[in-house]
Amino acid sequence: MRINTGVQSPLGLGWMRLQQNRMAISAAIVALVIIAAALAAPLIAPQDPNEADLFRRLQPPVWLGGEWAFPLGCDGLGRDILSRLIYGARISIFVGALVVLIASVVGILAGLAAGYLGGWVDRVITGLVDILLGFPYLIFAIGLMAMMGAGFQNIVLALVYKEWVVPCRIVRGETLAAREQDYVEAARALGASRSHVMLREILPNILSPVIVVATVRMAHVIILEASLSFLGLGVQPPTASWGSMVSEGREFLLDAWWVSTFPGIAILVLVMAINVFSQGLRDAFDPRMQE
Amino acid sequence: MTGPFLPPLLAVEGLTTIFPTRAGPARVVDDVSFHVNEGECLGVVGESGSGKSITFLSILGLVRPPGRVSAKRMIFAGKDLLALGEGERRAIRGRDIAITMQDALTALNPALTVATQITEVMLAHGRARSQEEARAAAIEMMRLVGIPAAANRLDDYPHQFSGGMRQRIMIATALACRPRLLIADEPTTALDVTIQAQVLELIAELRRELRMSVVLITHDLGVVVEQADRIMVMYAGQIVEEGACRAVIEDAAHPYTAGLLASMPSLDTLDRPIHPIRGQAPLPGPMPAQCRFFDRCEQASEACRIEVPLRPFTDGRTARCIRLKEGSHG
Amino acid sequence: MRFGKVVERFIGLIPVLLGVSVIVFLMITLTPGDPVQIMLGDARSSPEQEAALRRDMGLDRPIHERFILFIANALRGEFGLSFFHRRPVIEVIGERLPATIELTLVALILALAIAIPLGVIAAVKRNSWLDRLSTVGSLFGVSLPGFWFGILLILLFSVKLGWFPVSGRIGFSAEVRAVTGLLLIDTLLAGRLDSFWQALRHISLPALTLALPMAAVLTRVTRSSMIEVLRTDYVLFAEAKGLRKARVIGLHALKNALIPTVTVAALETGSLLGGNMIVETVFGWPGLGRLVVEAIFSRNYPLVQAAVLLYAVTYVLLNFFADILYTWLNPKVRL
Repeated sequence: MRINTGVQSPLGLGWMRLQQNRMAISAAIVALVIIAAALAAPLIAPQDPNEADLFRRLQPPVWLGGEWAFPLGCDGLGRDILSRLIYGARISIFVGALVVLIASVVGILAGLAAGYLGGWVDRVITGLVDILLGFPYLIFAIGLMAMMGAGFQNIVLALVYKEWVVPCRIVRGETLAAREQDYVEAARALGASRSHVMLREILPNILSPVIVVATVRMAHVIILEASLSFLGLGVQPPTASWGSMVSEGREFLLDAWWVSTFPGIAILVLVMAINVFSQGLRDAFDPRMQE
Repeated sequence: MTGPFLPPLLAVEGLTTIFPTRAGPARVVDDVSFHVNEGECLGVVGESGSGKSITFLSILGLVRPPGRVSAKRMIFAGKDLLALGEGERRAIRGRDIAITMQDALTALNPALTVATQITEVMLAHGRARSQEEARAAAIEMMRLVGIPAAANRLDDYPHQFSGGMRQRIMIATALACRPRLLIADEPTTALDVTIQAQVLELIAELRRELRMSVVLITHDLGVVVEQADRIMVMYAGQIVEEGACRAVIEDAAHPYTAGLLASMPSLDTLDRPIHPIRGQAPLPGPMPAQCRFFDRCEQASEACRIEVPLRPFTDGRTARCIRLKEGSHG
Repeated sequence: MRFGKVVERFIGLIPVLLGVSVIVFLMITLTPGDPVQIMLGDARSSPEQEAALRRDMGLDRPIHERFILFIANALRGEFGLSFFHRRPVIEVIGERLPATIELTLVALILALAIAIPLGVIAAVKRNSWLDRLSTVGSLFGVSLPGFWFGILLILLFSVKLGWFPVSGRIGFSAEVRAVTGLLLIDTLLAGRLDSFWQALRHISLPALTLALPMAAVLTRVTRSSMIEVLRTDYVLFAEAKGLRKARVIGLHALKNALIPTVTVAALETGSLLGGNMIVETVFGWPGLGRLVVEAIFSRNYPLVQAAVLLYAVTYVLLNFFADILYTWLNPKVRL
């Protein structure tokens, strides 16, 4: 614990504000619990998520006369819904995190290069960004998935191809502004190399908006992955993913509402937790956005 | 000038407006009492943040939450403003008391035509019975404030006018219902020097023509000197000096007023250096129990570490300084 | 804004449109696997048939020639034959387009009808329970997976309560002659109120599903721009004129606050295009979105390619339109 000097750094102030935001903290806890469950899936899932048993077909949740071994009931193949939810969380979180991570790295590098180097580098990157912005997100992803074929790797690729544009635009704008700042001028005057100025001087100073946006984008990517899986363009069966679970449950809407409903609630809860937390981050660390 | 036997048009007693701040409640207007006579021009002088604008927004009932306004008495034209409901307060705004703001560019709505903005006041207060009547009156008003080709420009948007013309349009809007009191808040600050004089002249002319009272709020003593009958100087939410214009200018009683006069460039100061007041006005927030000008006053002493009351001393003048003794001054 | 400026900006779109077509072209061309094999699928074919198809599709030519051919054909609305339908792609798309346009328009209107009053009230009554409700509601709206919410609506209102039909656009008995292709208008033109009612019931749930995330975004935009506008001098000045509160908020504030809302609405209409695919699939809505999803699974690549290009061009044009709209609405920017 450092001695409180009475003068708070902006970062320290931000942390303080975040800690006081009870809604954001609870949201973070909810998201962390889901992430932990996903990581520990083999340990905590009560059943094998892919073990089918037609005798248990569409068995209802425990409070509707099911059994405790299958608390949320079973799907059309008699697989345990809770276990599939826990394993499905892995896909949502892994795709969300991986896409945002790769996209952030690519976007930051491209944005720094475009903003700092300018010239033809900037023109090429900005041109590419403009073109990619010309596609509605889901349509771009659907088009690519249709061509590349379904599968985990292709989902990540299809989403990254467009997602990097978001951090790239932010970083480019911030870099353009940072270029004129004293600390950058000073580093340049001292003879620092271009890569040093970009990565060591500018990057640390513009990282916080990128991180804040990355959290919102992760929520967005999770919905996109679920949408693609719902359409059958995502992770292929029998691997459990929340989107495909909702889709599979459509057939049984009349007599087994739980098959579709629970995975949908799971998506909603995770995405909303991330969104609320991200809102808290923005309120705490970006005073410009505060009212 | 009206005699002393006539009741004032506006009389305010103990007006206090409080805004909550991080440091605690700030008395942005602190126990302010004053009056405006019929046909009179009262100059209200102070630096920005002294509470002079908020004082009059409080009287109009335009202070927004979380700001809170209280007063012992607030009488306008014989009516007790404190006893009126929101609807009756609104009926007075724009009809009997009008205000113009510092910058017409921000005070006029960019998305509405000049015609809409002038006629709506008359229609809202029943001064015109139809659109046509209101338009005719608006054209007349625009002529009165000196806008050339008024009839052709009625349907233009504010951004299509020059800065000086916009200021005139705002004045025309404020005066559309021929109010009895015009509050002109920094009417010249946003303008070029050459246009400043024109606008001041226009306000003086309209005051004579429409026989209204004017409150001239400004940070520039020079503006007040030529126009005002009386002056009221505000500092950190309080009145620090008040009296007849000439008397105050010639012999300031409060060190702050003296400081303002000394920092004013004019012809007779060419041979002596301009002398700005040192330091800065205190930020809004809880104030220590001492003279609020303490930190900046060149004559401050330990005796000033008390709440200094506003005291009358001579010729109906008042000031807030411990060095004044009754009748000792002037 | 002057006409010349509009034209100038439109010309600026050409490189973007060209780039978009390159990507759509590459989507198919660089796909692993031989497109001819994929298109012929499991059907037995002789080498001669394959060669003929290859020639028909221009696949025997170098890639840059193929791209020029693709653009030239696209400009003429020539996207080849839809394998599944055995008819020109453009014709198949044209048939499905009105249903998608109708759904999108109704969703757009619905989103604005929800968002504007809600955003205004939230801004005027800031920090009230209504404001908090709108904040939570819009967070909920953007977090809602549309495909699931649609299913939930069907489950509740169609299956359990029976208030709305489960899927489709209109009953067979209620069909009317197509004039605009938009059933809500055509039924009225035909004077068939019963049909109109049916069409309305069919479109309600899908339009609501599509509108909700957009309404959530627009509520936030309206709220924050309204809060900003309420702080301006011109709103204070309007109040100082003694105008009624309704006029100050409904005219003086709203006319300015709506500028960002309308602009974002035009931009977000583009994201409705993507949402269409999901919603049309869930509700069995016979529009372009469902057609594309079906085409993907039947490997009907010419159709997918044409539709993606159509979506992208529409999206670019919508963005352009939003840009123009913003300038036009904003008298200060207007030149």
